[in-house]
Amino acid sequence: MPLKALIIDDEPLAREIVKRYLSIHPEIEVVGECYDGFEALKAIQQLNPDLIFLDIQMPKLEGFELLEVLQQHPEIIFTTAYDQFAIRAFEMNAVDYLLKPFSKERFDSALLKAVKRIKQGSAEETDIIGQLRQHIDTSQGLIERVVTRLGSKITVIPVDRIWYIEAQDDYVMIYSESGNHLKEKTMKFFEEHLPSNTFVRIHRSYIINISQIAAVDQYTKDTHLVTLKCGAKLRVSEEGYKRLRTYL
Amino acid sequence: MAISAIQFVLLYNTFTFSTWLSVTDSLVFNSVFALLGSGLWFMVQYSGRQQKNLFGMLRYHLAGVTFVTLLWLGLSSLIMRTIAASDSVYLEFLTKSVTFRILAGVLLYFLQITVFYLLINIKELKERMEREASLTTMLREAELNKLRAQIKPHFLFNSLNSVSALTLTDPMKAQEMVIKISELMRYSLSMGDEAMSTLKNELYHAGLYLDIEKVRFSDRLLVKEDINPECEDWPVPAMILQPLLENAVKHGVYNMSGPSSIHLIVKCDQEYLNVFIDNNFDVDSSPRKGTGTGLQNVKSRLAAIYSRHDLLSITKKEDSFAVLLKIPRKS
Repeated sequence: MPLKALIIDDEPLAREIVKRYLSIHPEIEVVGECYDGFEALKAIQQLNPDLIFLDIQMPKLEGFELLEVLQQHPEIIFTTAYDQFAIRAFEMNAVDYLLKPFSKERFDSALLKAVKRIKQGSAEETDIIGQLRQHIDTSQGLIERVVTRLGSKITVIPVDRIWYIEAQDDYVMIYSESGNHLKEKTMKFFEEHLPSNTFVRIHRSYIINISQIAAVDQYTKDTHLVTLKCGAKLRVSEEGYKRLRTYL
Repeated sequence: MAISAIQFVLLYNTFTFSTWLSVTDSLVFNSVFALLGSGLWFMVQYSGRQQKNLFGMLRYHLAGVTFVTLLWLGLSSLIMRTIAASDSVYLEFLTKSVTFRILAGVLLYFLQITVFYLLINIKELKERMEREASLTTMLREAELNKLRAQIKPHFLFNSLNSVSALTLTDPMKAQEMVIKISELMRYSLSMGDEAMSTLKNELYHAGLYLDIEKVRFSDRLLVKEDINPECEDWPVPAMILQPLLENAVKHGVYNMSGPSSIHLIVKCDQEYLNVFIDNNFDVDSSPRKGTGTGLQNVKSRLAAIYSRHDLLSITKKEDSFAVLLKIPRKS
């Protein structure tokens, strides 16, 4: 039975060249082509491919964001014109990283590696997605948007539309214009990766968007209460108030 | 000279010495001081400023003032005693006025070094300003160099990747594409910092850029052009349109799965050439904020060439993004 491959790229000719290169490999069957991250997510869930060829810059949901909301673990060969993600990809143990334009020889060697890895099965399978997640957590600078997933529904929230973030055990709840979204991330992550000129951690459980503040009132002797434009009233710890005061 | 005159008047009227004697006294004392004073210039310039702290300076000039005043009085008195050896009244006056003359000497000394220090500082200030001005010019040139619209590497590599695919599927089209990429590269590389081109030439190369993007994205990129042919000879900075179009492509095609259209309108009147570029974008997609360097570079370049900051305006609506570029007839 041939291995199932999925090609994800927003440029038709870029998909075409991968298809052409694959055409002489009967052991690989192209089960689908996707032109953006949303399509890719649907296709991966439906077709359950063994291998994906993934571009990084795409409309709607880009390569790394797609991997963030993915639960299955297909092998990944990156295909991109950007060399700045290359080191990152190798660190993450992605099967290979092809810089466009790539030769047939280069492509075949990547494919060989992928096939070997798939055939060896889960024993040597590395959790690329997990590493990716961790990598995104630690190595990325400031984030510009947050991707959340509820069942099959994906939401992309630009950070400036976030009202506030609340800690909920291993998750955080993101309150925004587009509703409330649960995300598997730590408060620490958001504290470090949201722009510090708009977001401030006011409490162990809350990070707020400063532009959403409607009022700040005394609550008890040591604590304050922040009222946001959306109506939420949030406790401010003593420590948090010190931080908050620098913005007011 | 002025001091000599005052001294003469003082001596002639108050002390009633003869005209000749008054003149000689004034001239001798003042010329000797002037001679020594010019020596002070070097003292101030070469050694005076090496003393970094105030105490050192003070000590340095105390020594200086003692030496210069004594030398001055000694020399001048010697000359006057030789000239007016027979005039006992004057000689007595000379002895008596020593205290006064010492005071005057000290005063003159400090007056002179103050003036020298001022002169040196002014000279240095001027030099520093000149240096800064030349640095600014160099910086501006370097910036212009940097700002010069460059073909982005990812655009080049993605285009070459399309060529790579076309060589297998449609060799004729691949050849066409290689030629277009080359022409665009050559245009962008050959242009000097403030190189001017004509609208016609600019539009031709902007067209190459759009053609290449159309091959990459096929039916996802639609371009509509309304260009007044009368404006074709208008002088425009080379490679000024490409970054604006690239911005439109980035906001549109790069972030949309469906078709994205770009509308290019060019008009001109007596004073300005107006280039209007409008593109739609996906309302639902939350476009990543670009670094904005593309448009910022165009702005800086216009500022460098025309010394104006109001030539590029950007309007962002709910589902469209528009830029208006105004190019004056003369720079």
